[in-house]
Amino acid sequence: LRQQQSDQVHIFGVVLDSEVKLVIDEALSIPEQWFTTSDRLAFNQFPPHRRNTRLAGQAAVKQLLHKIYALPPQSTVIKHYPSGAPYAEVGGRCYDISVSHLAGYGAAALSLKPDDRVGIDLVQRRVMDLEGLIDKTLDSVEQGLIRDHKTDFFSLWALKEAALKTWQVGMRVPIWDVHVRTMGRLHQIEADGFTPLCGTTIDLSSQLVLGVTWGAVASAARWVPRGLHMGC
Amino acid sequence: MNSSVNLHDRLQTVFQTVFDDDNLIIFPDMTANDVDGWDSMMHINLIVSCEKEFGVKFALSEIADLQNVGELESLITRKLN
Repeated sequence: LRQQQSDQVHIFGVVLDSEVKLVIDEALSIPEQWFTTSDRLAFNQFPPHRRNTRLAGQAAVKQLLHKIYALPPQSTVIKHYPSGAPYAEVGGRCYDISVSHLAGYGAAALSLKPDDRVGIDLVQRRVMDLEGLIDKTLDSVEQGLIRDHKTDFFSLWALKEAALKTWQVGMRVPIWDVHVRTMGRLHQIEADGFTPLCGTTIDLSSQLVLGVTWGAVASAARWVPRGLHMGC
Repeated sequence: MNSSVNLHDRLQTVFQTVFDDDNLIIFPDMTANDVDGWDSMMHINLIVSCEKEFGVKFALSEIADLQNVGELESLITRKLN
């Protein structure tokens, strides 16, 4: 994957409305004024190769909220629920978001459907031995889905990770307990005890794929209403 | 002593293979923050590669509790003993 120049990140933004739309796909220089002094101090705790990646994720959130709601990027603060799921706070209002970042690339997603939560995951298609990972993380149905195209493993992985974010459970549920079933153009993502989700993938480049999943999932922090224009 | 040195060297080879970096040197306090490309997929790939190399199986709770490379090495040592 081509590394971004040191002062640049590449960001993507996705909104879920009547369909999933990629609304941001741009490289930009990191705008210093978007971040507070405490933000910058926090970023400086990361090694250089992680710093730009973290910045890319946050820049994607700020740019997405600016594009959709004209919110000022410098006033958008990314926080986390006790579950670890991120949300953005701007001017006393909270917005449920999903964020993913990878090697100087950042992606953010926002649901415009009040009843649906969205999750995303950015995955790099690597040249690597996939057999062990396929055996460990895919069930027989999923292995059948990728029989002729092993590199589709990365798309399934992106969907599974996105689903874990949508459910707000992170690594507490093993990825091999998440199951992807293909339903035409869309996928259904399931796990015992969780609301089934819809999912799709977006090929951002030959090496980058974005998994997007969504469904009627209650917010982990019930004191924060889901959807749009909410008080914190 | 020899067996622990051997285990350390074998674990280092696993890391070098997984992350495709012959110069990667592991140390007890090493975490994902120290290695370029160590994300969730590579983490599972690392676990799968360790299971294969050392002939052990890890439970999810064991994987989730690992804080650094030193703890991974200790876990492998316990399983082999």
